[in-house]
Amino acid sequence: MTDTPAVVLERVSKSYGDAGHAVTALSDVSLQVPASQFLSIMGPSGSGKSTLLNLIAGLDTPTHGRVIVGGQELTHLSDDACSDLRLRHIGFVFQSFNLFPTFTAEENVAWPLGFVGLRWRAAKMRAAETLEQMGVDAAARSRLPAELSGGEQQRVAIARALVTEPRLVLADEPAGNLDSETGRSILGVLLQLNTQRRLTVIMVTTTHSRRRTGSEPSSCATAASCVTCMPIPNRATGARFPCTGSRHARPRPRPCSLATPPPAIPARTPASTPGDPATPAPTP
Amino acid sequence: MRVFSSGEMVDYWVAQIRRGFAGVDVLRAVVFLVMLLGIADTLASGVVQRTRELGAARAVGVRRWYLQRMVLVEALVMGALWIRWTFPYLLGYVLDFHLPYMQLGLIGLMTALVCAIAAVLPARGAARLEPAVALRYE
Repeated sequence: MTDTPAVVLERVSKSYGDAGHAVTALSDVSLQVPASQFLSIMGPSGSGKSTLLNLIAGLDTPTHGRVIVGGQELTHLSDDACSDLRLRHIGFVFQSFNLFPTFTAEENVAWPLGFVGLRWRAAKMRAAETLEQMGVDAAARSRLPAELSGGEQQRVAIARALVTEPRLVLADEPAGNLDSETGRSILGVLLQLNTQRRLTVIMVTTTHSRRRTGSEPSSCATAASCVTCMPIPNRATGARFPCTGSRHARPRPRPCSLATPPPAIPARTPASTPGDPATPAPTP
Repeated sequence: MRVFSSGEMVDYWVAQIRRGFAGVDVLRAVVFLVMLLGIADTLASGVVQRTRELGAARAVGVRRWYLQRMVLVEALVMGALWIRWTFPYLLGYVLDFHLPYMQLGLIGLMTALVCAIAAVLPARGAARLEPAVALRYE
């Protein structure tokens, strides 16, 4: 296990447009996500959640600040190096699935493996295994995305994100286009990945989706005005809420100005005690 | 009055026919121009239509040059199909029945060149797509 945080954002800002008509999507956001953490970022539309995810994935560059993923500062990486980082270390799951419509489910999952040097036959075998783990049945694997249900498409998309065995999974409203039942099962899959494979998962969701799916994210971030970032408590990893230091009680989101960086999420140290300086003091 | 040998007679009529079909060369040039524009247009609209897919490919970790190469290969495949479909037409204007290897080779090369030229701008467009912008494309 490494102590390197999976993701570190240091005073990150992102603006779009010209200087005169600039729209600020993110302002001075600081965030630290330890490895094997499940972080859910929640907030209304237009609050900059997806922008935050894009910056972490290196799909966009910050106007100011530093983004560090797996110990590598993205602003220092070339475009190709950033692509390689995404290919090998980051899996991205979209709200609208973004599967390739002319590929079958299996081909969609096998395709990225070609870029890591696997031959097509071996890639298809590994894709079939990953799809099976995701609960996609054999008949669905040879179908085109248009012939699959929304839930199946999202499972295929998660399989595509996981097939290169990344350490970090970014999910942009993965249940946004699904009914509540299917959405719950997709969130269950992501939670399982976090607890069983110890993957770091950062999920973006809206308040509405959360209510609809009945999921249990205990963290939120609304980027433009305030931010509250908390990990989901994880009994297996001993992760604690930064505000309460508790693994059991669900804390109330504590909004704070983005002008001041939010408290860093404590590293997963099961031995740490409330008196430990690394652990924030519990709040009543 | 002039008397032709049979060989001279054939040459005379061949020359007349060639003169009569001289306009075909102009047509060929027009066909190449139309082909160039057609391929460039098809590739460019293909890139626009697949903007989100290209963005998704970049999010998966595909490098820019791969997308550029993909569009170029598409153009060459289109060119190969064009040669395949126009093959009987190319034979139709040859008086003697033979396979015009030289002509076909030349046309193949020219087609590849035309396709490559037509693919330059769409391929650059695909490679320059910013993934975050492409993923937002509706």
